[in-house]
Amino acid sequence: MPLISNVHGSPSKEDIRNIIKEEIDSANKNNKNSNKSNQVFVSHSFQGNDPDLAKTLEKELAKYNISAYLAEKEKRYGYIISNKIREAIRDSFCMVVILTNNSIISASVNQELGYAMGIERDIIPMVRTDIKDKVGVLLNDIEGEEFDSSNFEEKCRIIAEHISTLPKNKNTPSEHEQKFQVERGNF
Amino acid sequence: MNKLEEVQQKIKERGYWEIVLRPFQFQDKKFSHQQLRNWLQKHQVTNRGWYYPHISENKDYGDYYNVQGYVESYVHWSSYVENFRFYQSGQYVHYKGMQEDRINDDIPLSSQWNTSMQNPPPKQLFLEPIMALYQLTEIFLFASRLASEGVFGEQAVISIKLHNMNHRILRTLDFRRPGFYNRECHSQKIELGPFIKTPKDLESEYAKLAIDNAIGILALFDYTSNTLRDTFEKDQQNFFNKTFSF
Repeated sequence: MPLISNVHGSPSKEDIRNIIKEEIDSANKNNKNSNKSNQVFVSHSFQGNDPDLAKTLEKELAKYNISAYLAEKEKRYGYIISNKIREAIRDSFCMVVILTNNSIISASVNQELGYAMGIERDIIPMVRTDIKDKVGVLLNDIEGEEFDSSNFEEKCRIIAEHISTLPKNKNTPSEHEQKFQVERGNF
Repeated sequence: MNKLEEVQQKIKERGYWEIVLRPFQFQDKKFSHQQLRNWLQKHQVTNRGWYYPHISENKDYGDYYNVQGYVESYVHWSSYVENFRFYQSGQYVHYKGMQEDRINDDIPLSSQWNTSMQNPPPKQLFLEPIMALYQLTEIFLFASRLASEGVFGEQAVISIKLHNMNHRILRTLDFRRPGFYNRECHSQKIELGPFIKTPKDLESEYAKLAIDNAIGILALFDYTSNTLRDTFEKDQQNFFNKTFSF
């Protein structure tokens, strides 16, 4: 049965266009609400077994209905991260960075971390115990979870549970960022 | 339209750099106008003939003055067209036209350089990679100097954008350099950062940050080379020693 009928009992072309448009708008809206506002960016190295660690975290997050964005392996240069990654970080309400011997020297992890800090996303470090002294000064003050090879899954569960309690509406500039934007006005 | 508005319009009608340096945390009216002026004069980078930032004292070509909340400077002279504001919060915002796009404005760029060292500029819009490296080095060095004065507090946020880049080609004007030829950019805007850096980080990393980002820009022209970092390190050293050929 048509949802909208004209006086002759069948939908007009205009009605059909409106229905399709509403369907698309609704799908977009749902998609936006269900995926992006509940997304966590997982920053990790592509060396060694780090991708497996990221997948383990992804599974634990999924148990709390939180989607994880894991970057695909791609070559990156210098300090420029792709628009796709920027968008994914902006669309995520927080970032978990898995810090291992591989990731602390990874250019892409450092780029992602810098960008997330720049737009003031919450950052939760998971630090392998044997490298905790090598973590940079900017992350030293941020509380995270230490892990080793025997307890990573358990630590992921703790992190996922913690993340599930965080506010999700982080897609707007932070208070400080907004003030600087106001100061600039149209300049 | 007044002179400032004319300059602002000129900057944005072609390729331009947008540079934002700011503290991580906002604090209104933290510094006096005089402090801002003193820092600009003390810390501008003077390795090239045209200092970064350029403070326009000559009213024929621009101006430099206090406004409530910030100091401002603008200039349009030869191939240089710029406008910056330095706010009392410590935020510094600078729009700078790409010199490459104004080669024949008023005084040709070629007359300022050693023409025997130059390739003819292409007809198409282009980016000169060595000039980009020098520009980035000036920005990060200037940021490092301001940070050392405590302008940004514990952490500085640095964001750099290059606008109107789509279909621009890579071209060096130094005839001795092979390569770089006709690689094309397919991004309208190139964004670098934001980088969050402590004053100490900036002091130790500013030179590397400039090179990393110059390499990153060239990658968006699909240009990569195993020797590029070495080349840029030598170019940057020449910049610091003021021994560059152009």
